[in-house]
Amino acid sequence: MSEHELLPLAVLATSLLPGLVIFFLPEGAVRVRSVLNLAGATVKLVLVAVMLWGVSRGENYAVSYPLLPGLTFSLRADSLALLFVTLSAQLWFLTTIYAIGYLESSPNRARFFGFFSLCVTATVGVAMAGNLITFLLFYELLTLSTYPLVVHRETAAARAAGNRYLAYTIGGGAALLLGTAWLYAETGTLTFTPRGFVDGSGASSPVLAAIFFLLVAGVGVKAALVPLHGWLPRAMVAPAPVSALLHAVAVVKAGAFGIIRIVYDVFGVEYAAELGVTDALAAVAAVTIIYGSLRALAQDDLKRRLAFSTVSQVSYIALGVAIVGPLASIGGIVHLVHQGLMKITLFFCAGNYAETLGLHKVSELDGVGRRMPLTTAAFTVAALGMIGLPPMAGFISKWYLGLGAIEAGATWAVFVLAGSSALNAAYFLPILHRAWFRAPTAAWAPVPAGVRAETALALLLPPVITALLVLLAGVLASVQYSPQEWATLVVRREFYAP
Amino acid sequence: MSASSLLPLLVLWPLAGGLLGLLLPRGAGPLLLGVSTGNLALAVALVDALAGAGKVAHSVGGWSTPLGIALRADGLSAVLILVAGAVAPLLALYASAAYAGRELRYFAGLFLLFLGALNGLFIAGDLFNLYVTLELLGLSAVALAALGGGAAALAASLRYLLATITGSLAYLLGVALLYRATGTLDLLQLSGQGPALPGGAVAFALMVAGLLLKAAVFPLHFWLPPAHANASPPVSAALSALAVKAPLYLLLRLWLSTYDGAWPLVAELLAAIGAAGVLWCSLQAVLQRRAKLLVAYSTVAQLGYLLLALALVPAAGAAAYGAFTLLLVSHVLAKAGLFLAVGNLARRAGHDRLDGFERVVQHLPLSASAIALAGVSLMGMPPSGGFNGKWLLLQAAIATGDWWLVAVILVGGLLAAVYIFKLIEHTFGGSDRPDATALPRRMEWAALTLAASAVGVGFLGQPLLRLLGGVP
Amino acid sequence: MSLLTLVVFAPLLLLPLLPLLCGRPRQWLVPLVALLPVALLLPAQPLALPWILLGSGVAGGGPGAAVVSLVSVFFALALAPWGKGAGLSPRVSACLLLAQAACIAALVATDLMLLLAGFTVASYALLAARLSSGALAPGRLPAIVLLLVPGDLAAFELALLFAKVADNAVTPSVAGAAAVLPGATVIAGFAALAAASRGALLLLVARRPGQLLPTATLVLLVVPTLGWRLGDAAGALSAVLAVAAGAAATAALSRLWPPLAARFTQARERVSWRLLLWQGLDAGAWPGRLAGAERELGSWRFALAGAIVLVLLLLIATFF
Repeated sequence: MSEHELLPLAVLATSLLPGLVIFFLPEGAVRVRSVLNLAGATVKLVLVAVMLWGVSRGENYAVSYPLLPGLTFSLRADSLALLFVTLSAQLWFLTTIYAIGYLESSPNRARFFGFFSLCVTATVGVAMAGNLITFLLFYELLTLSTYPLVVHRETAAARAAGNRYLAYTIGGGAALLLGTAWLYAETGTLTFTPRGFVDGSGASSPVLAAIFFLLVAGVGVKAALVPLHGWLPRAMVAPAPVSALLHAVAVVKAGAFGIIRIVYDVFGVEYAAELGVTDALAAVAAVTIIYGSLRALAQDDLKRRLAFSTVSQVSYIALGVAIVGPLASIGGIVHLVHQGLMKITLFFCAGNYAETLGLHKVSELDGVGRRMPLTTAAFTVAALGMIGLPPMAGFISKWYLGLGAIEAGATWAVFVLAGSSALNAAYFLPILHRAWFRAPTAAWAPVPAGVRAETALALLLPPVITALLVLLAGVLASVQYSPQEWATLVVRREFYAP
Repeated sequence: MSASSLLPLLVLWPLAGGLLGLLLPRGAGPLLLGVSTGNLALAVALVDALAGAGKVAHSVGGWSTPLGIALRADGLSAVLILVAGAVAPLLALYASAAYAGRELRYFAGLFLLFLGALNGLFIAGDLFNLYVTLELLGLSAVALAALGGGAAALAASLRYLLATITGSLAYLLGVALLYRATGTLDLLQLSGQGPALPGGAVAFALMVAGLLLKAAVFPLHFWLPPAHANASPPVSAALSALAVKAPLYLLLRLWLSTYDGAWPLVAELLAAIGAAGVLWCSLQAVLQRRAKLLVAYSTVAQLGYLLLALALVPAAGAAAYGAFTLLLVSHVLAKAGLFLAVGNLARRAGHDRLDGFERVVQHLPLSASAIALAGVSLMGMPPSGGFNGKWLLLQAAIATGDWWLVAVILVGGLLAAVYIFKLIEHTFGGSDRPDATALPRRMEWAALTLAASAVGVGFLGQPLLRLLGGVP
Repeated sequence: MSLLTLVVFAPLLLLPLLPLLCGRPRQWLVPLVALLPVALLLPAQPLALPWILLGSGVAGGGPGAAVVSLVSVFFALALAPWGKGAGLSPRVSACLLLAQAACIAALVATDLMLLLAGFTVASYALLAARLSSGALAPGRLPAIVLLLVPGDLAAFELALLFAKVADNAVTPSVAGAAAVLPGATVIAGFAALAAASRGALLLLVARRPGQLLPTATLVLLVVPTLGWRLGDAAGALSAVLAVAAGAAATAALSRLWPPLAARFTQARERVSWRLLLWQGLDAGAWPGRLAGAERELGSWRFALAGAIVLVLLLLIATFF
């Protein structure tokens, strides 16, 4: 087995093996567990860096294994896969640190970290899936491995949220399975191919359109497209690291990534546009963007507000995908990374408020900037990025989406973006105002003497780092290996005929 | 040892072990383990022999048909013998921890008889021997079911006994009709003749109805849930995983070989029955408030899938045949693992009510994982044997244009997800019960191994299909 | 070259953090830092900054240089400790330095992206500085934000339109944009809206020079200069007019806001019908009926009847 076959497997193994080992470690083995987790995460980062370097030089990393006649388990690290793998590897590393700090001395941590690692394994698998069946495999694994995380607290509310989560995602999985099986019956292949494999397969257009909708509905559940979004705001009863993972790295992103794969590598965006299905997708995405923002406005619970914000923001990706043209594609794909960075920062910060000061509601945040300046600064950067203010990362995505919309003649999409930015401002700016400029209403526990940081370092560093990344991804968007540059590479190499 | 002499050995070895187990005053545990492991070795040897030859046959005592008894094994027999052989040592391991004394002795004896009958059924080459092994299988299964001892278990096994005898009689009647018409019972000689024989249709209807009753296929499943739910865990596992598969296997042989897959409407009828079973029994499983009943209803629902796959074989060929086999194999593993795991939960909690499990996920993490893994296969999620089977079944249904079946398969999968997660959700709740006794670890490991192999068999789809060969 | 500029300029990006880092006794450093751009930029040649945003550039010198110097001087004055020993708080100073840097970035940018970024950051940094140093009259902040956000959006749309006009350029240049602006009414409208929104900031002005000078510099100097860069004298004039209109609108709005706000009530979360359905499956009446049906199926009577019917059905099936 050559290094080119081994690397994708090794990237999976760096989270799978620690996860499995952790299940069998005793609850008290905190140090071994942490070392295992962090070592896995570090090795994964290194391996991903090697693959990034290789792929940018045109190397191919792929491995496959036959499951059934005509059906293979196939991993392939193409440039699009690596975009997502890199995001999840980085954020997994940070989230692990955060989770170690956040869950300090809470029960059932072995279980938590075990499933946490499985969840990342599934995400990486989703990213590197070389065909639709492998994608489906990891997509379902993701459903299963996040369920224990959602119900981690084991309260009635957590279990209800878990049920809701399953009801949606398993239904989505069924739609995806049906679409996949039907597609296979029609075309006889499922391998992701640049610019799609459906065109010229001889299947009739209505059938293909139906398959498209089945597949997109299947992944749309996780991407929280309206009206399939109902699970997401409820799932935020989970601990903060889980929400961070759910919203930024794993679940929602897997759905959005699925949309990207289906449109570009199964149908090919130009053929999909010929079928007329991209218009429907764009419409759904637009509705989701506006609806999510409107609902976010009315939430007082901070995490709930962030959850509805995710509903809205993730559909930027779907919108970028649905508009035909390289610029919109770049915007959609780069937002996969940018939204991840921004949203994970926001959830880390929300977790810090909750864990350090017990603040859960927007209305309780008055003056929190004085007590926790770094956390609040990180929150501010990410929130401004969400609004799309230059020079944050969110602006870059919005810029490309806007350019793409104009290029494709979809001027309405520009107004959707503008409306969403305005709404984002409407629900983020009041939070910033409260946090920085209002006088505190409650007396908080002061920073303990002898401690310099505003909260535990493991809780503070991750959001600060991700906030810096948000800033850098925007300011230095054209440096080599920046998300924007990589997204451009992906789009040039794989999505459109040169 | 030649390949063909493996066949009688596969029957005699466990039967002898079973008789010995009933007779010996002690040492039942090691005997059970040893004999079932030996049986597994024989099964592996058979698979190995078949991999080269494709078919193995043996005439007992050197007498050829129609006088003698013919034993034959093809790909399907080998797969089934292998999976039964693989499950048996794990059930034995579990039982050696769960039982003691007389109970263990009875279990060892009866289970090994059961295993011998099962092996015999899978390699029997004529209809009468199939009847004999089927009857032996049914009786040993009933005796196993009664082993639980309680009033409910006795009542349930009495029901089981009546049902299985009725089924056998109907089958025997059909066999008699065939014999009168042809003068032979050998499957090879009868091959393809069934439909044209005088009284062939009547014989067919009787045999199929009898087998469906014995297989507890909806709507004739009434005896199964109470019998399986009131038995003790290894017995439930053996019954649910293995016992009900035998009549379906027989139905496949009979219909596809003797009757050559005749009469399209029969296929439609079987498919309809299977589909109704999938939907109705999955729904019933969802509604159950007792864990073991839930799992038992899940068995009936999964039997519906098998019947669906069977019904599609004449039209869809290899895909449906593969679906039948893979679904069967994965269900054997998953259901055995699930019953053992649920048995562990119930043993710790002292009952099997869903709403009262005591934080099992903390105290019995391995059993909880076993439930989840077995659930993955039962729901048909990838990667698992269940998924492979479901995928082939979907392909078969799409290929024949039976879109309503596609819908049934998917809805059945969703309902399975509901009842599996109902089970899993309850493992997360409840309050601590510090006084509960710990379980022997091997009881947990046996369950986990079975459930994990139901998932792992998802990666063995190709080799299994290669061993299975084409539609006979 | 680009790597070198990265190494040289990257630390400069951190300068606004200086007041937070150096502590109160050394706040006298801050006004000096504010004068730094004059020294750095006046002699500078046009400079490409390919790693900033989507590839930017700056060009000092010429008449623009005068404006840059003025801006720097005004900010330095604002940052200086004015009498009675009461300097600005470090947080306010940091915000002001950031605003100044952003203003200058907008002024010297050769591409619209950097211009847009500077324009936006300067406005929000000023807002933050003002909010940090004391309360505003009620109604003013919402009014300002209500105008500022659409202004940002207008600026964004404006840049998109330029990109479109410049044949789908990803980073349109300021010079290219200037060539189109006077001709297109739509574009001019957006530009006016963007400028007008900054007029709103005039309501931030308080009597102290620390507040007065930066706000006035941005709104009355930087915004008209940007207008001039994009549209010569006409651009500058319309920017001034727009700023005035924006200020008036905000003033009016800030009076209207408190009564308006009282009317809004928190929207309530509605009970979702899906939840009812999900719970209904577990507890409703029909599962009881289903279970009853299953019990009926389990009776011997039914089982025998079922078996017989099955045999008959199978027989019938064999006729076809």
